[in-house]
Amino acid sequence: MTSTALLLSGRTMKRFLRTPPLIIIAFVFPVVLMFTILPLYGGLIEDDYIQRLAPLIVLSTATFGMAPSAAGLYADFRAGIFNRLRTMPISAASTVAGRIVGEVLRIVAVAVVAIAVAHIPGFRFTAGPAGVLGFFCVVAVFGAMCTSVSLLVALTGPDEDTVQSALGTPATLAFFLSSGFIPVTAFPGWIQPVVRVNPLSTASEALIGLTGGGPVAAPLLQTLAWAVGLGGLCALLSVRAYRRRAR
Amino acid sequence: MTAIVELRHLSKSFGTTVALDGLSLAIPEGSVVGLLGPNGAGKTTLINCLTTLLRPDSGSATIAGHDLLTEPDKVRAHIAVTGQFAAIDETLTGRENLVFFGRLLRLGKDEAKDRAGGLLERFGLSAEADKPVKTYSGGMRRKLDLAASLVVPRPVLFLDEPTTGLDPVSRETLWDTVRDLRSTGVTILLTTQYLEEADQLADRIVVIDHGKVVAEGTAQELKDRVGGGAVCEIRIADPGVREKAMAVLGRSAEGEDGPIVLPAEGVEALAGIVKTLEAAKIEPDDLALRKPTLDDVFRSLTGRPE
Amino acid sequence: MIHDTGVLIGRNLRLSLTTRSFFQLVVSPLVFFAGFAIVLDRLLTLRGVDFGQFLPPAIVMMAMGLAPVSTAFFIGRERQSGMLDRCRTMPINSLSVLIARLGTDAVRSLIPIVVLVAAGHVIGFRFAGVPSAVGFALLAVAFALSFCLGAAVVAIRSPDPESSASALFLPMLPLINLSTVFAPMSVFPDWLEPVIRINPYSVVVDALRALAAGQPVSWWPPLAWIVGLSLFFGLAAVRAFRRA
Repeated sequence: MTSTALLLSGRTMKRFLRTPPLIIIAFVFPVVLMFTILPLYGGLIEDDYIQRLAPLIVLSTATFGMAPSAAGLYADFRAGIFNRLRTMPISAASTVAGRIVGEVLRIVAVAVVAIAVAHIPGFRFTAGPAGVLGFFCVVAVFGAMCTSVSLLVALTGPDEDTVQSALGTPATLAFFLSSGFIPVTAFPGWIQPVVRVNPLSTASEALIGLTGGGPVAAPLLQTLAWAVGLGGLCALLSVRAYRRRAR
Repeated sequence: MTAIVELRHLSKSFGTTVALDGLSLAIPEGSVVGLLGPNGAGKTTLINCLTTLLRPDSGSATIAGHDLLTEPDKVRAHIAVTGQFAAIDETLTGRENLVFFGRLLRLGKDEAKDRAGGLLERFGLSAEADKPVKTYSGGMRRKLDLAASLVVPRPVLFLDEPTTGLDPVSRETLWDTVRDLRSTGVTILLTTQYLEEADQLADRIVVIDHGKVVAEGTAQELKDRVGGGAVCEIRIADPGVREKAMAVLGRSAEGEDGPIVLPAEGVEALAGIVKTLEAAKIEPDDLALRKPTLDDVFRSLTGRPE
Repeated sequence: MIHDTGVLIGRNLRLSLTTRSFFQLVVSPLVFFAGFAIVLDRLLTLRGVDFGQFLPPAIVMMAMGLAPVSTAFFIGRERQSGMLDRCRTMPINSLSVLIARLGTDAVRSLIPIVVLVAAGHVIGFRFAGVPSAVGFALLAVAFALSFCLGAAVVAIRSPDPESSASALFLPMLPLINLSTVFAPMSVFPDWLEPVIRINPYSVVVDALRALAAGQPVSWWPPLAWIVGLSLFFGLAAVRAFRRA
């Protein structure tokens, strides 16, 4: 199962690396987003805003990547590869795992680049090597959760356009309503509970903590709860949906 | 010969549409079976069920002794499929595609590379092997798709309209490959739009319509059913006159246009036809005697030209 | 040519009746409206900004900025399906296809404007009068179209039109964020001020806000940008469509 998953994720990576528009969007988008949000909200909120913004940018690669990753699956439906894989003696679990690993590798690669660039306007890790390692592990776990969600929606959705919209809109909402964007206390009181429970908030807070800027344990546990609960459930249901889907 | 693929009363419906209606069929090991049927007859549904893509509603089937419903994984280890659309990765090169599928089927790295190289050569794709598939022509893609099904040899091969849209030369190459495979003992179930293809390749032909088998036999046996040694083909351009001719000749199966074809073995039968037309004062535009083709079989069985 | 264009616009609009368009033109602007309303309300009101008048023009600018993405998407799709080539083999002026696309995009752009003005009403957005509302819509659509022309050039010349369409929203990010769309000038560091002052998004959004409030509008900067961009991209688009 492991080798199959690796082969499949290798294919996902190769496809990604050979589609220049995808690479440009993947690597340039976060950097552009970061540099253009920074002066605006930096001015509005706090001086070391980059410590808050960089984690959000890295995580939003995963949330905004859900729609394109569903599009990739639809490309395989159309090409017939999806069906060919299903007629081969490969377990559904390893196919699903392969997809998730491939996307996570992409998300972490983009995160490394974005974090390196974030050092220019002053982003710093101040919690040692363990913090750095933990930082990228959280990114990977969060990325796996997002990919599972997108996989399940793509496998069970009616058509590509609907699936893309169904994934893109919540991603945008989650971005706005996260404490990675502005601190929880800057939100109107009635929406603060939503902001606190948003997985993008908990993961942002965990990442901010791991760079040395706040508590780690609580947001980390909340993020893991999201990943195991939502991500695990979606992954399991994806395995089931994968076997049933006929294209 | 024992049956390597055996289906009993297989049924599958989509909503109120019945795609397979209690279909039973046995395919002997090592044979090439041509599956014919008009669009919507259930060919693709049948292939999708047999290749584990769709789960039938009722009935049972075994492939290489494994039950389709209870042991789909074992079935998958014995089959390969080449469908209507080349199921290969556009962004990878031809060689990378074959290595990828070989590795997925548990070949070692070197073994997968060797197999890929050999297949690329066999299909005349060596020169283009390291270019991305998106630069390939339709014929090259189809060949690569078939090659991907042969990376690890399987006893049962499903070919779903393998030559649709191919030029005559590429079609010949594919036909030769199918004959080669047959000689190595592979069992092949082939669906096709081209009756000539079934005539050329298939040991047995199965005609299905409305989800059921309507005829089965060798090409010759099927031709004998329409008219043994000869058929008479009558062409009438005027639709009114044609309808009248069909009525007096007692035909209904031919549908709205095209020639009227009748069994006409021997002089007496032919004379009978001519006399009937004469009595009704119908002057055909063309009347010819010829050997029956699978087209005639198809029309007489399904009322529709393939 | 007028007739051809009309027929083509009719077809384009029918093709627009999709889930994707509904999300692009109605749902997504509302999501952004709600998102920015929640995020920015406190921050900006603290700085003495009249938020109800401030926000709707900002989100309108955002919706206008995304119009070129669908221009490129649809032209890319027409190119790949062979529809563009078919039009070229028919006795239709090849520019009709371009003009019809822009006409369609103008109609499409009006939808988020109406949606956002209605949403803005809830948080206190008001027009000074009917002329100011008409001027508001016209200026916003003209602005969108000047960028749609640029997107048409990209779509017609790019080797991979559908994926380049999605890359087109990239240039919008710096333009919209480094402007007075989402924050008043005082928020930005001083060294950025010249950039923000000259940014077309700043001059157009300032004009939209002045129009809505019935204040005197400085017309020259926005019109200079719109006319300049339209001429530049328009000439390139005409050349590209004639040749391609």
